[in-house]
Amino acid sequence: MTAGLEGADLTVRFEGEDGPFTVFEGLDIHVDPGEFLTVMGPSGCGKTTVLNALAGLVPLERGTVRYDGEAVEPGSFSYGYVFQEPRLLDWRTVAENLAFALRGAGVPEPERRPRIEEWLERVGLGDEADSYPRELSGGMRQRVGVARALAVDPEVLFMDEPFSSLDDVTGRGLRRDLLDLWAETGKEVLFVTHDLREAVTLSDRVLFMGEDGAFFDGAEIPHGRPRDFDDPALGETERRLGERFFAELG
Amino acid sequence: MRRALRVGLTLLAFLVAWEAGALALGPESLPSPRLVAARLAEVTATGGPRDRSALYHLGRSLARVAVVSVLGLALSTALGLAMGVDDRAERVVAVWLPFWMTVPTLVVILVVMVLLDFSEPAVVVGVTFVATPFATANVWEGARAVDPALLEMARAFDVGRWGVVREVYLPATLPQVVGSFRYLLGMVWKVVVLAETFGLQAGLGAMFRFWFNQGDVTAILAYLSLFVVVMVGLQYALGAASDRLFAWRG
Repeated sequence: MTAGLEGADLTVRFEGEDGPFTVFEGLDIHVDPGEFLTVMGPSGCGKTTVLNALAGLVPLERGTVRYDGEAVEPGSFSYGYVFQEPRLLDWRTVAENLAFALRGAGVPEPERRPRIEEWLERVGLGDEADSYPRELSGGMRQRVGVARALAVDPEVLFMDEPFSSLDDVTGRGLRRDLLDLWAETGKEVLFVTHDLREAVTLSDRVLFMGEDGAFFDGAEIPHGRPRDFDDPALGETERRLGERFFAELG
Repeated sequence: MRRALRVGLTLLAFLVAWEAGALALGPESLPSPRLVAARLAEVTATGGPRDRSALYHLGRSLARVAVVSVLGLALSTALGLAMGVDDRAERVVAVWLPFWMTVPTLVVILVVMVLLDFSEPAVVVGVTFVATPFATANVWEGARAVDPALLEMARAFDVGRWGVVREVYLPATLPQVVGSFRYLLGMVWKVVVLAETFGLQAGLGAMFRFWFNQGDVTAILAYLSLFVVVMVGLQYALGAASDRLFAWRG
């Protein structure tokens, strides 16, 4: 029995205009308890679909999902999801956006307010509870997305290129904060990116996905924590992995 | 302030054109604004046929307009949202909608008035039937435009169908719902007056018929101006209310 989140023989096909189209077939993936695992690959290779298949957002044609050794329906375990765009309800305040997720997670009404306040404080938005999303910067909106995902107190955190649309400075700040929050909470994180430097800085382990939707390589990131984004040793690992990775991709 | 000035100038231009038209055509064909105002004061203060003042008839017509508008809005919102949320509802209603929209208003009103014996419910049923399909199509369009990314987010956070309707579909389509209400109000009052003209004893339509039979154009215009003033006022009030409602748009 393996603890953590495990997907075996995962197969997803979509109906395309020219008939069925295979995103990936027979894919195996495993996230250890408390591990920060990153799936890295070129755009359009199916990285996001891996998250969505495990989260039960796209149907599996074949395959099983296990959580802590038990076979479960995809998405039936407790998870939070941070999307590439913040996906906030523009007509609700920041606090109400978090409440929306908490209600879905079945958190009783009296517990919601304190939890919302706590998480907004932790992502540095303690003063923005009553603001509307459009009044916030892109980075702040993405912070709301992170707070929303963590406020439901999930076992697993799915993150789909959450910092790719942010400018460099904002992205760095958010990555640093994410690592702090992850260290505090010890969640399993399944992270998707096409940015190797980001993968090396954040992860315990990286899986490389090719354009055919198969994992062709993987690597442990042999650096202790906390990590410094500008550490030359990280740069060296990035260069080494990049050579392996891009050689395979051609 | 600027807007008030613009409205004032438009009104003034209208009155001047009316006065000029009255001078050119003579009071038999087109009574001047002053004549109509004097007549309005008279029918409002002392009453017209059967000692009912114009205000009584206005009240009756407005009550019908209110009932039909609210009923029509409730129906069209429910139908439009159901079509947006549920594929089966969409398939069923979408087949009927074009037919429903193309039945001539006059025919519907006449048939319903005859079927329901020229009663109060006849007006309500007939006008609601005529007004609803357009507002339904409008709300449906809004529901179809709801961002699928938000729906996926709601699924990821396990928000149930009612939560999604209440928190995503309804607020996202609120601009269409409010727009539909303004449209309904504008359309419904014309059709209510039409139905009243056909066969009721009270209401502005009944008065139009009465004074038309008397050949009194001045009285018809007096009743009409009263109604137009009230409806335009209502439209302005609704416009202001919707500006407040959509403050989140920033």
